Amino acid sequence: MHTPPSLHGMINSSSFDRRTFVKLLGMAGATLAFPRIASAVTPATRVVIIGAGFGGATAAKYLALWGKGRVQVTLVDANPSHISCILSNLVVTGALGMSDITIGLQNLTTKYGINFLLGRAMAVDASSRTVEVSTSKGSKSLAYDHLVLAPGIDFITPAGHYDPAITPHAWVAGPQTLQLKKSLMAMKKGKVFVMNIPKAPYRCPPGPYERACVVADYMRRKKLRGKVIVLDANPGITAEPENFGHAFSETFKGIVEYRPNCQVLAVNSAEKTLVTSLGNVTGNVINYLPDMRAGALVTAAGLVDPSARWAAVDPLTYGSVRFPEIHVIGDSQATAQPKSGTMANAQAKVCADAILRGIDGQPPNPAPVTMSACYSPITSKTASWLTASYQYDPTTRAMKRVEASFGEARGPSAENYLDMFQWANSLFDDTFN
Amino acid sequence: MGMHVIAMKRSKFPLIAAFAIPILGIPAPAIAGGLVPTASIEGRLLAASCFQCHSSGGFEGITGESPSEIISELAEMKARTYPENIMDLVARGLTDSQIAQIAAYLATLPENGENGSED
Repeated sequence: MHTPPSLHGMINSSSFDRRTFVKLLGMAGATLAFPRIASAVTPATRVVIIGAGFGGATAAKYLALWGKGRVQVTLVDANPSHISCILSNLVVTGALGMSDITIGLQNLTTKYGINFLLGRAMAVDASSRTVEVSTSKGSKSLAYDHLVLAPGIDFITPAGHYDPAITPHAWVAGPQTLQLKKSLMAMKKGKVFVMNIPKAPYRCPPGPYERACVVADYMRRKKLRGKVIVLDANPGITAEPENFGHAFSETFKGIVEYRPNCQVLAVNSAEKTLVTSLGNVTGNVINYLPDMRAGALVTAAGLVDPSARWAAVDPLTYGSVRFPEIHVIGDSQATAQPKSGTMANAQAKVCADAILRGIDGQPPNPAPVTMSACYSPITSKTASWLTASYQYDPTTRAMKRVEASFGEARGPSAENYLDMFQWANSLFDDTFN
Repeated sequence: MGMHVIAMKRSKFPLIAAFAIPILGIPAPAIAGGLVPTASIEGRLLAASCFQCHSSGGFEGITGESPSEIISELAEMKARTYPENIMDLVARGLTDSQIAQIAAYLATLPENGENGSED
């Protein structure tokens, strides 16, 4: 069995190329003192970042890296490590362990002088420009000049009697990942794994199809003679239609049953039943993915239109249309760019650049480019990928996909499977190290 | 730890490739009219997206090359009629001017010997 490279070891190794080049450029990442570097003339701009995932961590790092002493960055997260959704489906199947997807945040503080506050952001006060954070030592109020919100997603509770402890989503990595793994490992012969895909947009377009594949592959390898029922609220496969379509109809023929145009209307977790527009569906493992929306903090801050689920932003700065100094990046923002970790990483850089330009009295970059390149495991040995780049369209004031850059791998391959770990290693390093 | 196969085979002779193209009768990609812009914060932001995949532990290192080498490689990928791999598509997401800006910025970074190698 192929042993994937030790991601944990790479993240925590002490010799990093980025650190070397950072020091050589005199950006002095490791020598930024905290709490604040202030010149005699201008105090450092205070940027508070909520959420240390792919969006928030990247924003913190690049603000500190490019901003040097001009910014004081405070990063807030309820956990001292980030648990990555990326590669988490391989934890569900047992190919990887939790430690492979658990990424410490300490390098962000030691290398870049970012202040890290362990706590949960409870409320934003846009008028006083403060955010209230609940910590183990009580409530703390953080004042900001710029606030970057990167909380990820919140789930919309379905009708019925829904309990994620019984029917886990595992769409935020962590205990839910292990919960789903446990359910999968306990499956006996001839049993049924049911999952649904919410109507787009949702977090990680290829993710659910990838999960269906690796679960089906697990069942096949264990000779379980089981079924994976995929209930898709969308009219067709929303990402990598060729690769996943082929996987469903050929590679996992007889295992995967794919049903498009199927909406889940209610969930009865205890009865392992999904009430759908195509009838009731029961199974032994129910992996229900709720409809998704912006993180609760974003909504509570008044950044989401009542009829909408995501925060409208200016794609040049990711500043909220309501409060330009409150930036929303990653899953919670409303642009049509895919909701992925790589996209959050890309948006974070545009946001950091815009904030720094603002500090220097410059307008934002008028032509930002973002991209999202992601690998998906299909079996325990093969993977595929998809990629898309976006350019700013000044006529519509939106990020527009460059069609020539949009595509999926010609087919799953063993080479792609190995490349997937290089991609993930690099992404983790770029974001958290 | 197992063999890593790097999907994107980096041209070992980028300069030769750049000169060989006209000899073969294939029009050389004319990027930036042959002019390399000054490294800028625009280039820095554009190049930042490269490090998603080209950071430590990732694919080939992209530092330590001259701007014309970088431009030549990206232009070649962008010009492929039938994209073969992920970088061919990524290159198509950039305008020629953006490629030149990326090249100008990356060329200011020191060579990063370990980046992207098998480990």
